[in-house]
Amino acid sequence: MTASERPLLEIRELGVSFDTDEGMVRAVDGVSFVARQGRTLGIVGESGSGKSVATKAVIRLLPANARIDPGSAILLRRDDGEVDIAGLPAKGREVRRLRGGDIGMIFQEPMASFSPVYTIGNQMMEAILEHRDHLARRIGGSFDRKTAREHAIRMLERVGMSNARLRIDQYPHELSGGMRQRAMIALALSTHPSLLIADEPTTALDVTIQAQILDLMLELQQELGMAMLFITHDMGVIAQIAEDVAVMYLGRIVERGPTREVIREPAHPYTRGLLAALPRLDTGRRRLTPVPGDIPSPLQRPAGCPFHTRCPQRMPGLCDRLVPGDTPLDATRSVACHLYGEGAP
Amino acid sequence: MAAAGLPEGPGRSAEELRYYTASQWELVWWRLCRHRAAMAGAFVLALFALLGIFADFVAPYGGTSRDRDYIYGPPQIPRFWDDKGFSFRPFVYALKTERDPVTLRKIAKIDTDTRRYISFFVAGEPYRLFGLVPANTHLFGVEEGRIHLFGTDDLGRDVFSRLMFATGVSLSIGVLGVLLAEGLALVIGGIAGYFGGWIDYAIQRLTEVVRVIPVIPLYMGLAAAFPREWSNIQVYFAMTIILGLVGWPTLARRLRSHLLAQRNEDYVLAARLAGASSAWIIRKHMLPSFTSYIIVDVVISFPYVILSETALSFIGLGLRPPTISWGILLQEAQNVRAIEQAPWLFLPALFVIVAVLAFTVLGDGLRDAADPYAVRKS
Amino acid sequence: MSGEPLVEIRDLKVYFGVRGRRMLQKAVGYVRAVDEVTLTVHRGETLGLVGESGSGKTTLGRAVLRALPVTAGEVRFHVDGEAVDVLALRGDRLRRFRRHMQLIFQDPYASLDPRMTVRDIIAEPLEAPRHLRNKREIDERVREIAARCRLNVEFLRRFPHAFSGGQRQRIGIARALVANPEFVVCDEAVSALDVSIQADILNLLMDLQQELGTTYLFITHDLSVVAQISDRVAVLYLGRLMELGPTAEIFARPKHPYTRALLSAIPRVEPEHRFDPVKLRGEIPDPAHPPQGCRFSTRCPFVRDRCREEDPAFREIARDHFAACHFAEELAG
Repeated sequence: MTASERPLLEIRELGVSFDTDEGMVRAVDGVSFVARQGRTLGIVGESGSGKSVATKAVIRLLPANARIDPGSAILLRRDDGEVDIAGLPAKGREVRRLRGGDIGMIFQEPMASFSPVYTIGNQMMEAILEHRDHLARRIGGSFDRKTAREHAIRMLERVGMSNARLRIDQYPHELSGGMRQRAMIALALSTHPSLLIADEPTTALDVTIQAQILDLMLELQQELGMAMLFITHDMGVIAQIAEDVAVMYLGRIVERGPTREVIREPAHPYTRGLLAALPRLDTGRRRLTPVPGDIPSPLQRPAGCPFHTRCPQRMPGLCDRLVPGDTPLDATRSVACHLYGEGAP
Repeated sequence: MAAAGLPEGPGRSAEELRYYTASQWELVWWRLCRHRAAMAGAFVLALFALLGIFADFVAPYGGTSRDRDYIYGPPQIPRFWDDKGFSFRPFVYALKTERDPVTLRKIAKIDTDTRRYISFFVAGEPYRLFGLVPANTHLFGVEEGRIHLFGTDDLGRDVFSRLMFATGVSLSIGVLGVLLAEGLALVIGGIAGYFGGWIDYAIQRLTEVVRVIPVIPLYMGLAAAFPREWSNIQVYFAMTIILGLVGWPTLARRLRSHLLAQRNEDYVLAARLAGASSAWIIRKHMLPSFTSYIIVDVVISFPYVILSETALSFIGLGLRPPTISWGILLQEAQNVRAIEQAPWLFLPALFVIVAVLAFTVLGDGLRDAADPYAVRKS
Repeated sequence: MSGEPLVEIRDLKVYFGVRGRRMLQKAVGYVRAVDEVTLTVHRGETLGLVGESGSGKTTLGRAVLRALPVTAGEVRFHVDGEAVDVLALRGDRLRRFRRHMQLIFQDPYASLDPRMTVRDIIAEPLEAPRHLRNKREIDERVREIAARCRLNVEFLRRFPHAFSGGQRQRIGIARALVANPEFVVCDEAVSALDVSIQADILNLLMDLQQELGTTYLFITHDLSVVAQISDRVAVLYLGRLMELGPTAEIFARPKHPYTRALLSAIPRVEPEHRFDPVKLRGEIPDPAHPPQGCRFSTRCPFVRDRCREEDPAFREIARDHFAACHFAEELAG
């Protein structure tokens, strides 16, 4: 493993539950994955998969009624050592320093990132100055208002915003959707984070704008060398942007591996079902093959393997009783399914 | 069916079925029942309402009857036990009058030797229940002498009895005032919200004008305008009407915004596309959602009306004696002698506070229960 | 599919006035959401209508159903042997005509009244205009369509909050089809659903079309979905039709630069496809100030002087395949 492929973020047995009126709801159930420098891990899943909750847990941005399992570990590797984010107080200074400093995050709704009452320049400069120590460590130099502004303009230009010097003094509502998304990327990357978490950043965009943004993100990743966690429900997007993929279902990772291989030869019945259900451009009008059934409500988690209620290959007595562990398929792939476990037929 | 994969099976529990077939009303009710503070508030209000409605029965004496022997008398607390022994029946001490040697005024003194036992369902002063049915049974009383649970005022009138009557009057003004205000708000806000456009524009401006009218000078002017000859009943109703007429703008505005938002809901468009007429849409889609909203609004508005009446009567601009309301009672407590020597005359304030708190808490609970997007606290 | 026209849309314009900032000021400009669209929907077909934001596709769909006011143009509906001018209908006549055309909404959570039972929701198109007074007949129709939509009869007693997104969408579909309309506009009907459920609903729509002979106008931004379900595809940009043709043709041999750019921008799962989106310059222009000449001229990679001066006509380039581009033949070659 070269230095550039060292795991930057390691999640071990992450579990998150929510304390609601209806009882404890398990959103993430023992999830482990790794994000490496310079590489993108795509996390794909549908509603209820827990993908957003898992990534929000990394930066401790969960609502007040969320409970992280005591055994969970969220390890971030920095130059000065390793820090377990799960162990930090959720509202403490350490976490605030990490957020926006070492770890950047971009969301689906750019308007959610930006306050409507301040210009984007104002907000970017605020972020840069807030994390000036972190920036000094990463790229050197000291930052005051003037240098922060220049840095912000450079970032805006870098993300392809025309007339950056003009736009920096505009308010978020004055920009179009694509522009706002670029501004959000600029904001997130202006502090040179070592890890970027992107939660459905292109879902709300038109397809032509989405293509531009994906292109941009790939370029920036090449240039800045950061690790990226890309969350989406769109397999097509994952195929373009992520080298590795983890497929989540109802709070668990059911399959992981290099994207190309997982798409070419999906191992888990859910992954297979998902890929088969995708509408295709090249087959013309045809009947599709849906995944039978409905996604169970997180309040009624099925016993054993969470997918067994919809699995065409379920084995009664096993799949409805025992939760499958992670079975390695080869050096880079693993799957959580009894079909591949020791008791496999 | 299997292909569609509907997770339907005999496994559904009765509990789940109840939840699924529950109408919106039932869901709201269940959510409300879990809100303990709101339930407490509802209980208190129900209690007050009963006291008010059956005031004639609950109160041992009429609202104006006087006990000349017991002026500014302190409350008589029922006891079950004293140095003479234990008694199952609660009792109070008798009172005897003496002359204060210095001021030569009559003072009531407690005679700890004589017990007056409290009986329930005793015969007492006659009254007409609901103004119609003649009766003379009272909830409790004493055979001889009088019982003053909350003491008496400067004219020897039983505070407890007057408080019961006052509760009835204040609450009923609240009800009528709110109903009138809500009714007006419904019509005016409804028209504005449903039709939009210039009708809405005109009504909005009217609303603003009415809202801007300064309330105290308005009341003062109106109170001065109440003819002296008017009976207390007339003053009472005029008071209620005025409170209603001034109270509608805020509600109307809220109802209008709610309606305007509702018009844009997808399901309203779906109904229109289904060929529904405006009347159908209002009746089937808007009114039901409206109703829960109105109920919440009504409950939250109550305290304002009651406090308005209380404040106005307190400063002498509202109801007049011998009508009894919380405000009137507090007006009578408005002198130094009362503060120093007869603090029990402020008990009506306690009732006002409790009532307003109960309404507020119940209103909060209703609003939370009716709002499907409310964030649940753990 | 007969090729016989069901809905004829001619020169349809839907403009929204932009109000001035001062009180009571008249409109200062117009957002040209739909700007002279001419389109014919054939009986029994599924016509896909695609476009990005500002294309006017949703506005067009709703305007045809008279859910929005139309500024100009004509919509003719061929029903029961006669051609009805839909835009001229008023009041009671309009309300009674509605049973011929229906809408399926995008948001399964907002389109069902949470206070009504599923049975009442589905029955509304029958009960509201009072076609069938007989309660028994209504109940029968409701049960029948619910079964076709694979909704358990148990469900009819329940309220929407009991159901998942996919199930709610089925209820919406049942409601749209209960009166057996000839024409149904699907406005992003599967966009809000998870992929595994999407496939199920698309199948349902296709099955129902087979069984009932309904014609669909399928509005979506997702080209893969439109490829699976449509017979023909129309591409809209800034309120104008850019291209129209049979689905296979459009996807294999797109004639308009915009369509080509759109297709190239789709991230594909198939590893053989290199993701090489056509780089379009700039952003989608403001619909209140559309460009002179060809709408797409500000972003087209092949733009020439003529494009900026002259608005291209929507003409037949290949058989049944239309495009609005001066240079369509050159660029295709």
